Amino acid sequence: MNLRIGAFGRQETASMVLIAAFFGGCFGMDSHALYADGNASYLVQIIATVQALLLFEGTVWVLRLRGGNDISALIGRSRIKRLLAVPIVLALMLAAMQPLESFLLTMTQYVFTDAKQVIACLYLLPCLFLLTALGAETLMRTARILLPILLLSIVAAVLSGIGQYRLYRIHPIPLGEPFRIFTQAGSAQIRAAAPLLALLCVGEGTQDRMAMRSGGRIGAIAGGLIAAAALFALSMTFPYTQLVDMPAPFYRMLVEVRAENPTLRLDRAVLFLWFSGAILSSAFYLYAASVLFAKSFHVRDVRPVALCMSGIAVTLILVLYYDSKTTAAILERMYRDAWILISVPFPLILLNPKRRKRCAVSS
Amino acid sequence: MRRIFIMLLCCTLLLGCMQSKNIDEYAYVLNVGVERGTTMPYLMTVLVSVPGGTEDTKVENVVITAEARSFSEACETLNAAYPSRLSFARASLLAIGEDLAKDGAQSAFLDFAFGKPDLWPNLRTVVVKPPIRDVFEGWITEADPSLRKIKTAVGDLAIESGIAADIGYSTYLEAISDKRFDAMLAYAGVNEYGLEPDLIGGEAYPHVGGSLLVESALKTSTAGSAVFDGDRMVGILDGRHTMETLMVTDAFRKGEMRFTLPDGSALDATLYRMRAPKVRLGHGEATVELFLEADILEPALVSADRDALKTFLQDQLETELRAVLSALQQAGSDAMGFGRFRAKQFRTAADWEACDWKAEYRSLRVAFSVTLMLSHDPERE
Repeated sequence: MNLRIGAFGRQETASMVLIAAFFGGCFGMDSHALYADGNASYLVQIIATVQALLLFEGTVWVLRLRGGNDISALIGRSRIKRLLAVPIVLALMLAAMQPLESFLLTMTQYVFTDAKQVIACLYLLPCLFLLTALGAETLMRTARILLPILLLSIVAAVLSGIGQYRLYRIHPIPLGEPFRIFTQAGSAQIRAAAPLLALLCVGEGTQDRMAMRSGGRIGAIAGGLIAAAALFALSMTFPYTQLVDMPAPFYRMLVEVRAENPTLRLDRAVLFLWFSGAILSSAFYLYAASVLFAKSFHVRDVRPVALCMSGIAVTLILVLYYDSKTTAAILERMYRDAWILISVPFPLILLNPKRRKRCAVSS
Repeated sequence: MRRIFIMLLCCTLLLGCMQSKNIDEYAYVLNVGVERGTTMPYLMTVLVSVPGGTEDTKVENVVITAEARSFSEACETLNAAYPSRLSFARASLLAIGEDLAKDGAQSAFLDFAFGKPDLWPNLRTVVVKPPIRDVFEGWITEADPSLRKIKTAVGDLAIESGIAADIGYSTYLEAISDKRFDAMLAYAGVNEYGLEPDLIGGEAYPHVGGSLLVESALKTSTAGSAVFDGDRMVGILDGRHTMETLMVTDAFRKGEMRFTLPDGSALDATLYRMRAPKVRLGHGEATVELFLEADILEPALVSADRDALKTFLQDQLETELRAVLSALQQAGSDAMGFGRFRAKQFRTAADWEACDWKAEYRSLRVAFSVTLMLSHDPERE
């Protein structure tokens, strides 16, 4: 089988998971839902990261018990069991769409204001396909190279806005409704758990389960904490009453600097760097979804699946942008409730009575 | 196959050459202003900088106006009437006419989505005594063709002297959309204009601060502040009262004040912020502790009776702060930002939104306590 997983180490794994966790946390959010009842976004991010880690650790533990390196080993091979892969594939596709949609909106509305979304998507599709077709090793190594400069850009963005930070803006902290915070964290699983879920799909490429576990753990914790810190900085820049209707809050944070600030006009450079990171993390999700699909349904080459997945994701982004309000409402609802896609098959997969059966290693 | 792919990829790099526009085809808007129109609801005034084409051609600043019903309509009118394409990307000052601000009518005009037009979101925002054309023309000088120094000076004025409030458009929008505080914008006017009634009482030249008339190359000055209740301007604070309000909001760094001593003699002091003010908000009452350092310019007065002088200055500042707050409460403006502390007392956003803070604010009792440290004070050293 030509799955193009290759081999990668702990640093590469951690870098990829960190980038995906950061972009999911900061750019995949639904502002309406997150800020409608006050601003606890940074707390939601931390709780969502903890929940995602518990899910990941539980899965790795079951993998150790049953033997196997990736999630396809747990799904099983009967026709009905294979269907359990479908919600996970859909969840990964949605996770891939979220940051891309956010960035395309930012690009076409604030940077290339005369550009059409469809033109921007035409540029995006070859990038996504190329990355997904090259496979996991390329994705992971690119992430390792890109990580330092991305971290630097995040630090620069957070520091440039420091003059605008006011602590009063985080109030009122909605601690009176802890259940709501936990519910929001549950809904955020589509962006918090997706990097680890994608890693579980390509776990075969890591040296062993322990390398996958430590790489995933480091990446998820670091990415989650950086995202929470960035969300806290955002909370000090804008009150929740403004954030609830803000289409691209992190880009807005970049351009909040005053005319005298030396970091003026840094926004475009940082935005393009972030866009590269978002494309990389989306390609990672799409590749993982393609691999899981190919393994579950015995497709021998991952590239046609990757091309289809990339095409469908980009088309859905366009539909969300262009089509009627009804379609947009359906897709928005999917974003909000997409965590169900993970929460339904996972218990079934983990409770699968199969014991100690070695999975066939394919490459 | 690979060669064809690389060639196609290279072709995409050439797309930037299509429909390109040279930089000298643009004219850059430096200041944007809006006031009440005569035939249409709004009059938009822009100060445009036309870059010189060669070394011999100087940068030219011109003021152009258009009456319109909306911002986009005004932009279209201006673009149609001007030979170059107007770019708003470098605008760094937004002026709101006092006539519009008093009715809160500027909000409908400035209700445009971020990014459209290409305005920098946090551009400096000031209230201007109309006509805005005169004010913009008063800023044009050959010594500073890009007006960069003048605009930096407005910011410096706020930091160095405390007699002007320097806030950006984002903060202004926050103030009118969120009830935690009310906006306080710098006030600009042409120096020749007459006296304006100050919110606290008496008359002042708010736009020249400190009630001093100036003669300079610039015909326009910025000082004092316009205070708002929501999006409606409710009055003017002169330089001194602006300074005192900024002390409570922790935006004050240093400034000069003149005090009249009991014997009728005057004392000039430079006040510095020592540390952040402490504000405690209880049920219907609040305490504000301010920590300042005073550098007395007449050393003989200090050495005479240090403690008595310190107590006198503290009492005088507290009295003035009470007067400023009382006037602001009557005008319905929470320019001191007590709402920021009230919001902290809520555990859900719904409860905070249900709270009628403005009604509470009008009857809020505030005790001011000023701790003043004289420079070269043996206690401090």
